[in-house]
Amino acid sequence: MTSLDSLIGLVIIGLTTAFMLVFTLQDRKSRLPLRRILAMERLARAIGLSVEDGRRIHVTFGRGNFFNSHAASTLTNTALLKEVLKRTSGSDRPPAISSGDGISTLLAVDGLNSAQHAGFASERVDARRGRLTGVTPMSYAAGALSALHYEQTSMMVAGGMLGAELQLILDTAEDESVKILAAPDSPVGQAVSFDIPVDMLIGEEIFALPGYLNAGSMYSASLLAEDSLRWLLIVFILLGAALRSIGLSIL
Amino acid sequence: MKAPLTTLIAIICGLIVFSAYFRPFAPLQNVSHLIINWAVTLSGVAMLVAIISLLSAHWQKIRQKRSSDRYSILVIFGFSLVFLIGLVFGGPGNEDYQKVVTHIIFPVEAGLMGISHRSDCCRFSFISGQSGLDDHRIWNINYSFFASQQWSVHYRCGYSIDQECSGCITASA
Repeated sequence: MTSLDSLIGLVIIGLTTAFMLVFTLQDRKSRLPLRRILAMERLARAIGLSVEDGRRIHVTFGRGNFFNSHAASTLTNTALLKEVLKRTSGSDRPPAISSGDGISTLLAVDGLNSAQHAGFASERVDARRGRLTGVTPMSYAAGALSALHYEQTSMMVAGGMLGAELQLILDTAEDESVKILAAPDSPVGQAVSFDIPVDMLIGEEIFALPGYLNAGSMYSASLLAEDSLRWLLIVFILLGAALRSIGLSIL
Repeated sequence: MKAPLTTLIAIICGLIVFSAYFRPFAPLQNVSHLIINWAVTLSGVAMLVAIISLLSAHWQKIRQKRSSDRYSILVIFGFSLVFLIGLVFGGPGNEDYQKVVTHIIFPVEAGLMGISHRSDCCRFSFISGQSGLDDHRIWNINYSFFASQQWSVHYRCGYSIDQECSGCITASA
């Protein structure tokens, strides 16, 4: 990486941080407006209904490794899980978590334990509530299926790195009348989700999950920071094109 | 959720790796490499802990008095069998061991994917009616799903592969 690339990278990170801080302060004064996403509204409603029905929300983290590009969706799922745990604190059945990766399993179990210590979860946390279901795509999916059939699940949020194996989960959820929100971060998973009529999030929407569930000002601020950076990029592209057309170049 | 020391360690490690990525300063990069290597080792340990958790979950499912899960016995049996075969052959690096595992895992996974082929069959038949794809191409698509299920029996309707279920006929009509 050249020193110029490093500088540009640092500037972008600095700008992102600055935007996030500004928007966080703004959000604390008055709630930031977010566009309407039906799947998010249905998720919030389904969480409430699951508490009333005495059934369980299942959050599945996918198979994403923490050391590659799927780390972002794993962290999003962790933030989502904390919010779901808070909202279902009055439920007889606290949420269950499944994963196809060791680190995200530990993150999930840590989230459950923290919720129990904070008094959000009434039921004793054991290995069945936060577990690795399998380490290969199909074994992961097969392990997750039992949650739909045996564990009084009313809704499953399937996020993170999910490929073609998501088809199995969605198909079984349809059979078992379990509502599902598919938020895969891979194009294969998103293509598979389109095949079945379920609520789904596409592209960057998956990172908006905690923001829409009011998990904290920082999450809403990050969405606006992303939009601001996008507008800035558009301005730079147009500016660069205009300057190049009159014979000037910036870089 | 509130663990200041561990959070502090995580933030410092993150900042070191982050700084080393943007600033090519040799001592900083050495420390960064060391932290990344530790993280890789810890991820292996995490997987080990998660596998123990998996076995523990299935053991509890077997032991629970109400609605004991008999399929969990199969999971633990399968895991133990693969583990023992691995010990006999000398670990996952062994070529024979890889052959044994892949010749079991691949067909089983393909069969699992084939379980949902009835609905896929219906959908592709519907697509053929809507999109004007010729029969040969649709047959190829359907065959790829059918072939994945070697002993194919429809999961829900119970029809065998050489029969047409009413769902498929309705969808194509």
